[in-house]
Amino acid sequence: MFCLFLMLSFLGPPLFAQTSVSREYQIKALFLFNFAQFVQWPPDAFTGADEPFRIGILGDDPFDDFLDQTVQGEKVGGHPLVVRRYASVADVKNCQILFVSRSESGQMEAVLAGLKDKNILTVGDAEGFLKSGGIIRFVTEENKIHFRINVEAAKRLNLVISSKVLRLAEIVGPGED
Amino acid sequence: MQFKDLPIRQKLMAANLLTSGAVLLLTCAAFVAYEFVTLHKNMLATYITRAEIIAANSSGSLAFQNQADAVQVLDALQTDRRVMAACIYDDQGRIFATYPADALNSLFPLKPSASGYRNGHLDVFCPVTQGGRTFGTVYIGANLSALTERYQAYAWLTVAVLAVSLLVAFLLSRMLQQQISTPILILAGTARAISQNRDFSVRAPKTGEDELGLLTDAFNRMLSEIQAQDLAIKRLNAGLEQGITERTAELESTGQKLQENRKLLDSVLNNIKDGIVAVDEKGQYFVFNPAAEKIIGRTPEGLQHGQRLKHFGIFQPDGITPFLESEGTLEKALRGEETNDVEMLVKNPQRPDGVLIVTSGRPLLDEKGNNLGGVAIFRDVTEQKHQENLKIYAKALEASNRDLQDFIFVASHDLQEPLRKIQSYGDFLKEEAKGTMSGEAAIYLSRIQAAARRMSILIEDLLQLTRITTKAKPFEWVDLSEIIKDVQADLEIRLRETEAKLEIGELPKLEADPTQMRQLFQNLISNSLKYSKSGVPPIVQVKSKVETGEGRCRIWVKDNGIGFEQRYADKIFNIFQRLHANDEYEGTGIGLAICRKVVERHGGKIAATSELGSGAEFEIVLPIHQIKS
Repeated sequence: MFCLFLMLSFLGPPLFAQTSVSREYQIKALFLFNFAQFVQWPPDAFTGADEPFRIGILGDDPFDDFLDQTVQGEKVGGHPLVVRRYASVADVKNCQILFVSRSESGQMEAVLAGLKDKNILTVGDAEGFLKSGGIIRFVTEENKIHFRINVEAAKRLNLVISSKVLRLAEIVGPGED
Repeated sequence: MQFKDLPIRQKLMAANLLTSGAVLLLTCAAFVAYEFVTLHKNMLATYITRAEIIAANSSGSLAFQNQADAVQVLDALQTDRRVMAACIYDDQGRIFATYPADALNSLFPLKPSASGYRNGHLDVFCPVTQGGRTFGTVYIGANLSALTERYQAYAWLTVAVLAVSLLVAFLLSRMLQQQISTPILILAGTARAISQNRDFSVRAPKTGEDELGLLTDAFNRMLSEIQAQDLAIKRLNAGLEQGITERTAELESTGQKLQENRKLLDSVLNNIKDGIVAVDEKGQYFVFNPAAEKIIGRTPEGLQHGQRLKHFGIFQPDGITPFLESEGTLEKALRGEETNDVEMLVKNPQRPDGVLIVTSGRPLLDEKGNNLGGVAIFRDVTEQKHQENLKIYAKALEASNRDLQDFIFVASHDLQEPLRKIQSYGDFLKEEAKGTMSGEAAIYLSRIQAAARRMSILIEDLLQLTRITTKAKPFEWVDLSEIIKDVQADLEIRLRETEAKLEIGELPKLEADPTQMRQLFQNLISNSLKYSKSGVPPIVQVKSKVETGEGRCRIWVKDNGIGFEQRYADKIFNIFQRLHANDEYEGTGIGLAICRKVVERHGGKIAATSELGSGAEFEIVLPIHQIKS
C-alpha cells in the first residue's frame, strides 16, 4: 500500500504536469486508452482497415485535452486513435469506446438503451451505470481506481475482454452495479 | 628408461591406456563443454520463458497500475529457489513491483538492459507488451547454483567414468596385448636362444595367421635357410680345413725340398771355385757367390747403374783399356746375348797384379722366352796363364841351357886340348932345359903348369857340372853305404894326409844316379877336409834318417872346420862363389854348385848351417823314390 501510494503521489506529477485535469481523470483517461489494448472488437466494428479507432466522450468532458494528449499518435491494431466528443447519444455512431460522463446520470438508461445494438465498449463512473446496461464502471476505493465489469453485457456485444483485465476487475452480473 | 627401451608388453599397455585415456578425456571434455553451453542456453531460455510468462501476466497489472497484482504475479517465482530477485519496471524504467516484495531497490539493475550471464548470475529482461504497446520490463535474476551443481556432478561423473574406463581398458589391454606381445616375445626368446646356443634347428611356434604369424613363418623360413647355409658352411669349412692341412703338408714338404735344394745350390755356389753371379731383369744381383767376391775382390755394394764394370775394375787383358760397359757379360745377357770365354783383367784390390778371368754369360729365359735376367760365370786363370807362360819360358830356357851346355861341353873339350899341350910342352921344356934353366925360370914354368892344371881342373869341374844334366844316367837303386865306401877309398890318401877321421852312420838305399851320388858325397867330404882348421885333424860325420811317411830321407854331413857366417849359407851353393882367397884354400868354386845341382836333379834339397869357427853342417833331403818322367 505504501508503495502504491508512493507511486501515485511521486511518479504521477511529472507525467501529468502539463494539465489541469484531476489525477483521477488522468488515470481514467489512461485506463480508457489501455482498454483499447485489452479488448477485442468484432471485425465489423470497423468499416475499413485504416478507419480510426474512436474513443468517444458523451456528455461533459472531464478529461479536458488530457485524453487527446494520451492517444496522440497512438494506434490500436493499425487503427489510429482519435477522440470524439458527443453531445447526445444520437450523435454517437461509429465509436469503439464510449465514456459516458456523469453529466448523463439522469438519462443513463436511455443513453445506454440507444447504444444497445452497437459494438461499443461503454465505460462510465456514475453510480448505476452498470445497472443501466453499461459494461465497465470505474470505482474509487481507498484512493485507488478499480473497475467493475459486466461480462454478460460485453459478451452480448461480441466484445472480448482480456482475462488480464478481468483478473484485475470486479465481475458483476446483470442487475448489479 | 626411455619409452623406446620399455618391454613391448608395457609399451602396448601404455599405448592402449594412453589412447583410451585420451579418448575418454576428449569425450568427457566435449561432453562437458557441450553440456556447459547447453546448460547456459537452456537456463537462459528457461528464464526468458519464465520472464515472458511474468510479462504476459503482468501487462494488465502495469496497464492498470495494479501493483498488488504485479507482486502476486511475481510471487509465482517463489517455486524456483534459484531466482534471487525479480522485478517489473514500468515504461519509464522505474521499478513497479519487486520479488521478494520487500526487496531493496539496490538489488536490481538500475535500468533494464540485455539478458545475459554476469557476475555469477543470470540476468533476464523481458518487455511487457500488450497489443503492440510496451508497458514495462520484467527482470529476473537467477543464481547459477544449479549449474555449479551440475558441473560438480559432471566432474564426479567424469572422474568415475575415467577411473572405471581406464580400469576396464587396463584389464582389457592386459588381456589383449598378450595376443600381440606373446608371439613377439616368443619370437624374441627364440632369436635369443639361437644367438646364444647357435642352434639353428630351433623353430618359433606359430600362434595365429595374422602379420605376426607371417613374421613367425618368415623367421622360421629364414632359420631353415640359415641352418642349411650353416651346414653348407660347416661342410665347406671342413673341406677347406682338410684342403688347408693337405696343402700345408704339401707346402711344407715342398718347402723342405726347396730348402734342401736351396742348401745344395748354396753349397755348390759357396764351394765352387768359379765365380757365379746372376742379376734379375732390373740388373739387381740375386746371386754373388763367395768365389766371385774372392776373384773380384769387391761386392756389388754401392754399385751405380751403368757402371758395373767400372765398379768392379774390369779391364781388357792388357790392364790398361777399360772394358766397355755395354760389352759386359751381364749387360749382354740382359740383352739376350751370350758370351763365351772372354778374357778380362780384374783390378782386385787384394791382388796387386790383377786377376785374369775368363768369363761366359747367358740370358736367363723362362719357358716363354722372356728375359728374366742374366748369369755370368768366370774363372781365375791368372795362375794357369802364368803356368803357361812359365812353360813357354822353361822351354826357351831349356833350349838355351842345352845350347849353353853344348857350348860348355864343346868348349871344355877344346879348352882341355891347349891346356894339355901347355902341360905336355911344359914337361918337355923342363926335361930339355934341366940344368940350364935358372931358378926363377923354373918357378915361372911350374907356375904356368900349375895355372894350366888349375884351368884343367876348372874345366873338368865345369864339365862335370854340365854333365849332371846332359850326361845324366837313369835312376837305379843305390845303397848309399856302398857309395860312401867308394868315396872313402877315393879320398884315402887325403884322409891319411890330413889325419882326418870319417865317422859314417847307417845310410839308406834309394833311387838315384850312383855316379852323381858319388860326386855329391865326394864334393861334400872334400869340402870338409879342405876347410879344416889348421892343426886340428878334421872330423867328418855322415848320418841319416829315413822319413818313411814322407817317402824321403835326410842326410847330414857335419864337420869341425872353420865354418862360415850363416848369412852366406845360400851363396856358397852358387857357381864360382868363394868365401876365401885362392891362395888360402884351393878350389874352383864349383863343388857345392855341383852338389846342389845333383840334389835338385833328384828332386831334393840341400841347405847349410854354420857359424864362423864352429864347423858346418849340410842337410840333404832326398826322395826315396823318383817320379818316373
